[in-house]
Amino acid sequence: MKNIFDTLLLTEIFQGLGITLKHLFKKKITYKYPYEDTPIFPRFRGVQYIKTHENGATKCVGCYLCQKVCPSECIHIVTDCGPNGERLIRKYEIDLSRCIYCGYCEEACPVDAVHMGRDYHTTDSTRDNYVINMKTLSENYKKELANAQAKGEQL
Amino acid sequence: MQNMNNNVAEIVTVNMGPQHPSTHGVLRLVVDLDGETIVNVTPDVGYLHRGTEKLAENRTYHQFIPLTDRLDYLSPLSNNLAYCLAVEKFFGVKIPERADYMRVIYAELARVASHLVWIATHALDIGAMTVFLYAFRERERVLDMFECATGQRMTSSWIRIGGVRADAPEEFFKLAKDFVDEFDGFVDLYENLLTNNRIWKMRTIGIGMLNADDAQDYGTSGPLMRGAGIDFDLRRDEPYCCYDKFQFEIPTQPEGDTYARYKVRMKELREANKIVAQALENLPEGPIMTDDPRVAMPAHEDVYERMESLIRRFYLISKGFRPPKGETYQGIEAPKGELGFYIVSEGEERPYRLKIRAPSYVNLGVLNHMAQGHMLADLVAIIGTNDVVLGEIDR
Ligand code: SF4
Ligand code: SF4
Repeated sequence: MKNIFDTLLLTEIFQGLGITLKHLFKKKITYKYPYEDTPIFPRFRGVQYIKTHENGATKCVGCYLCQKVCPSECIHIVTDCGPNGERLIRKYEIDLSRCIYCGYCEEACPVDAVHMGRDYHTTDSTRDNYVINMKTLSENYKKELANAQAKGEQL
Repeated sequence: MQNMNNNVAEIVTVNMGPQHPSTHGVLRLVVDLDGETIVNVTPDVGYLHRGTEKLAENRTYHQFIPLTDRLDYLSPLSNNLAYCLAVEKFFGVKIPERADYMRVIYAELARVASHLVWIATHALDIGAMTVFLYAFRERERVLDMFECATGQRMTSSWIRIGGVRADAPEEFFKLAKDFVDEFDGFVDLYENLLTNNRIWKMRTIGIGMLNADDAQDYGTSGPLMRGAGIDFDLRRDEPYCCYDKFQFEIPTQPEGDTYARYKVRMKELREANKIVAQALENLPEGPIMTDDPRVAMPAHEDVYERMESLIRRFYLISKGFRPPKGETYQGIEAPKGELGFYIVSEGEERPYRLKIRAPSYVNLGVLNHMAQGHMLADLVAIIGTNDVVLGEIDR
């Protein structure tokens, strides 16, 4: 008897529509990705940056630890001896197309220089653009610093 | 004469995959069909082969951890854990209690994430799309937690030989507590949608039979084995980390069909949640990394201030650590079954040989046995209940 009642009055359909209606007013859990960024957590491992001193000189001392520990061998460093016997970093490159964002370089660095940033927009149309050098890495630091200050966070 | 010829069954061989959406990756199945009935299924694996085991021979022990993420990519933290436990066995290092608890939390959350993908795709293959959307919603929360604690959603590389890389932030515990409290309700929701669903029952009961003897003979493990009535779970029978401190049940079902395995995994979801809840409650304070100088990287603060730590860091990174000569095997109860790492060391900073016992690979071997005599349409249900991940099979 109840079954016939249910069939005639379409109760189940209305039940189903009720659930749909309920979800209509719930908080949305999806993001329109290319137009709006998904939120990320502070620990997110994105494109690296290298910290600089107050005077703009890089904090990196060219110790090769990050190059050594990198599992995908994507960091390339060349150092040289300066006129006063100091260490110069001739080349510091990270090949982002090889990088797996494991964070090992950050973990290895003994002077708090290289860090994982929060930028994950790395698509590009040419491979050459994936190789970033010390200049870009230092600029990344400025960007990350500005972003962090805007949010009131510490880097 | 003509009539007789017509009666002789003609076997048709078709390919399923490697691009078929319900083969869960790049699995190619060569299916021999008699009409619509399956006579023989031959899995053809290797499309995702990346030579992980060989790569291990050219990486230091430390550098291999990110590669383990890419085995069973649905539960990277279990793979990290299995590998690190195997290497730790060489050294016999003592892991701090807090690190052990964090490892359990991560491993069980990984089980939740992996089983959620299983229920989502398994149901989607059979035709229940709603479950897919709900399960992925919850999985996203688990992945958010992973991102909060480890920095990445899926390739976490967070567990280290000797502990865990860093302590989880406060936010992680908040997210985890909320999730654990609500999770039973979510499982109720999936069960509401499926357990008594007529179509679901018709598609799963009596499909893909596997009895206890066969399950054992084929060497299966995990839910596949427990769904056949064998009560075996490494977490209880050979406890690692600190699983002996938790109260949990090992669900088993005697029937050995797809529905039984569904029930086992649903209960496992609840049990995993229970373990996480207990671990969060009893989480001890303390260090997260052992201070054993043979394997532990000195902390950053130490390195900035103390010469000895700096030297040790340079030594550990440039030379790596060298386990004594010998071999070791450690298996853990990963979401898919027994995941084991067998390592042979020649006393160098890299393994001489590393063999991965991937649960999916062994479980896939039983596919032919399970599928014979069923309809072709049931094959997707049987692949789904097998719960294979190709990253782990092809390695
Ligand atoms: S994140 Fe990993 S792969 Fe990328 S540069 Fe650093 S160490 Fe290398
Ligand atoms: S580890 Fe740090 S200091 Fe050493 S080379 Fe890399 S970025 Fe520079």
